[in-house]
Amino acid sequence: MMSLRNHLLLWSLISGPLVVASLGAAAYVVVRDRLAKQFDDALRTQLNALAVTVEQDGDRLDLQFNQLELLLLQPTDRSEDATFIHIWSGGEEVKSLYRSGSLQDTALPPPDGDDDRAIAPRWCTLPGGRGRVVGIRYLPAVAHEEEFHETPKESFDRPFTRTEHNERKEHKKRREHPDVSSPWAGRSNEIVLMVAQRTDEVDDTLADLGRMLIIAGLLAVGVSFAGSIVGVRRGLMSLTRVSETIEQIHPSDLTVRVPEHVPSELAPMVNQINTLLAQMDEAFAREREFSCDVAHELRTPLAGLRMKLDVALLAGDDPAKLRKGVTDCQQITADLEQVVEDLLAIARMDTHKAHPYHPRVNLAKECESVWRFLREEAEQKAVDVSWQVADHLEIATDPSLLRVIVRNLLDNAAEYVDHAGRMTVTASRRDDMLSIEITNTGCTLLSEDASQVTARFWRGSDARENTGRHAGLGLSLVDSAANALGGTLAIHLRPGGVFVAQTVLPAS
Amino acid sequence: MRVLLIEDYKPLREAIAEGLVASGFAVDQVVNGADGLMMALSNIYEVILLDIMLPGRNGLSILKTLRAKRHPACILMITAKDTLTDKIHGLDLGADDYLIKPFAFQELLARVKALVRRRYSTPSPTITVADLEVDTSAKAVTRGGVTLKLTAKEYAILEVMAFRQGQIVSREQLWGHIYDMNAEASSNVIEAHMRLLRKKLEAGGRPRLIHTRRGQGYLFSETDA
Repeated sequence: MMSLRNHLLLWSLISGPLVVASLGAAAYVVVRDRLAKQFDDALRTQLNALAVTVEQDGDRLDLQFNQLELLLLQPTDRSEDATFIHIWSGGEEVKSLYRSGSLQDTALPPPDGDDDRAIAPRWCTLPGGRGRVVGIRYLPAVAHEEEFHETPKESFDRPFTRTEHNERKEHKKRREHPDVSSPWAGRSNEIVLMVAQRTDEVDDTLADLGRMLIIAGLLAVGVSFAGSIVGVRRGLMSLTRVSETIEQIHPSDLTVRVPEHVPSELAPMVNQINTLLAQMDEAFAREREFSCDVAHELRTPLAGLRMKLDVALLAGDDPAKLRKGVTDCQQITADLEQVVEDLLAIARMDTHKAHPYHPRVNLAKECESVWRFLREEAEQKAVDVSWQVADHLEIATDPSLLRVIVRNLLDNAAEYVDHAGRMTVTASRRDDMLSIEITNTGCTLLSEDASQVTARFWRGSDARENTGRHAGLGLSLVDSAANALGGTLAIHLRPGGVFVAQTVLPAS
Repeated sequence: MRVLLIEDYKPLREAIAEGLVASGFAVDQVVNGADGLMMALSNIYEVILLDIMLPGRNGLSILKTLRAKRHPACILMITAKDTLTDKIHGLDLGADDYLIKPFAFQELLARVKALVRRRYSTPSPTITVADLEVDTSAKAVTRGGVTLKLTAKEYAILEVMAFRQGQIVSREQLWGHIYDMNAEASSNVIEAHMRLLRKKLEAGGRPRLIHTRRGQGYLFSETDA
């Protein structure tokens, strides 16, 4: 796919010349029309001046030009200044009545069929070049006839007056009842005076303008091209920077952030990318930490297992030492199995989805079934256990997750309670929530440890020194199970070394 | 040779200690970092086996403290932390070696022996004095080409003397090197072992190599000078 830079450059290169050409053409047309109008106005002024010099004298026309007008009619060495006059009869049958000498063998275009008084200016071909021609359809003054002496000499480029209208009616009447001996017989004595002038000067001006516009256009296209390259490059600089930064991002180092000083259009994208990077970085860090913890917690028992086997083999044929070695290895593999089971349980709970149907579980019975396996250990320690769980207390929940919570909390308390210490198990229901609180004395944790005890693989000093049974996953399991059920686990320490684990779960 | 083992995982700690004792080392076992540091500072050890993630006090912190106090023992880190950064960090802080869990006991033993040699600046595993050869690797002793049959304690005493040949070694020092912290101190035991060792070394009228310095201890040397 074409790059964004090339795409923008291509469209800039296409649109730039088009815009320049359009503007140039528009400017050329406007100037041309303006010049043509000015030219036509001048020509029309001349036409009006000439019109009043034309008189009808019986069967012929008299053109009474003054000296200036004669001068204008004469072809000179600067023939482009000459005025070209052609008079046509304005009746139904158009006949040429007069042509100025400057026209030589050519003629001005005859009037069209329109009955308009003013004939629209148009381009025409004249001896020596092209020019503009204007015309007027009117009734010339009649020599020796009083009514035509009154022909106005002002501009004819205006509507007919009432008098002129009457005259036109009279002429029409004459056409309908012609005098057959007259040259006007069969037609009106209305004439069409056409005046033209060469437009060499205007053409030269327009040619100069055209050349100037082409040069200016080419320059503008060049500047536009250079500007487009610079503009596109500068405009895409931020995008390029963002792209280069994103290219540097690697899963091994997610601390890279996209520069935030970008155009406003890119800001939402950059913010989103940076947010995602931060989240990914955090997730990867957690993952690395977890993997590291898992590796450590599995490697240490594995090291113990291997060491036990190696040392047992050193014992040679001593059956007692070999037996002890094997027994120790059995215990270590059981510990490892428990670690793996706990890790799998946490992984399952992290993705656990609440079952739509939750059976009702009697909490007292659930606690009793778990406590059966722990009672002996507690009795050996002479622990005073206080149960405050009502027999009828029920909870609608996932039984397997509730079992994980109860088992781990009771096991944790029974393990760490001091000799002749005290344990309490209290359950109470408030509204739709069930609270299960299990406490034990003999806790040696510091208050600042309370916030860490649910972290995976975290163990207090006591737990670490007795490693084997405890991998630091029990309370983490409870936390995951409580979360999966939509509840919470809170850990805090009371004065006197009392460890308190309280989980609050939805009861229905 | 006496080794201090600081490791919180009981099965591993017990197995290493059992293996090292079987190999003729005196081993003190410590569960947590604080006790480990205290033991290292108050006893003579050739080698300290040190875990990193310890309750009480971090292994790297112990290492740093021991090196700051110019503790002469060679320190072997035994840990599950396996990244290059972890290794470099441990070695930079003054560890002599780094072993990643899990490892074979034979590898651990070989490294411990190598560290003992380093401790006494004796690169070769065989120490020779006159016609006596002590192979610290095989824990075998020959004199004049004849292999001597020594008990574990006799060999331990000879090994300590051989590594420190030319130096006077007191009975207390000998005790400290060959017995762990659980043994009840008795100078007579050392003297008894020494007497039996000398008898074996000087069998056949061979010249004495272990000389007594009254009130000071013993000198292992070809000449009594």
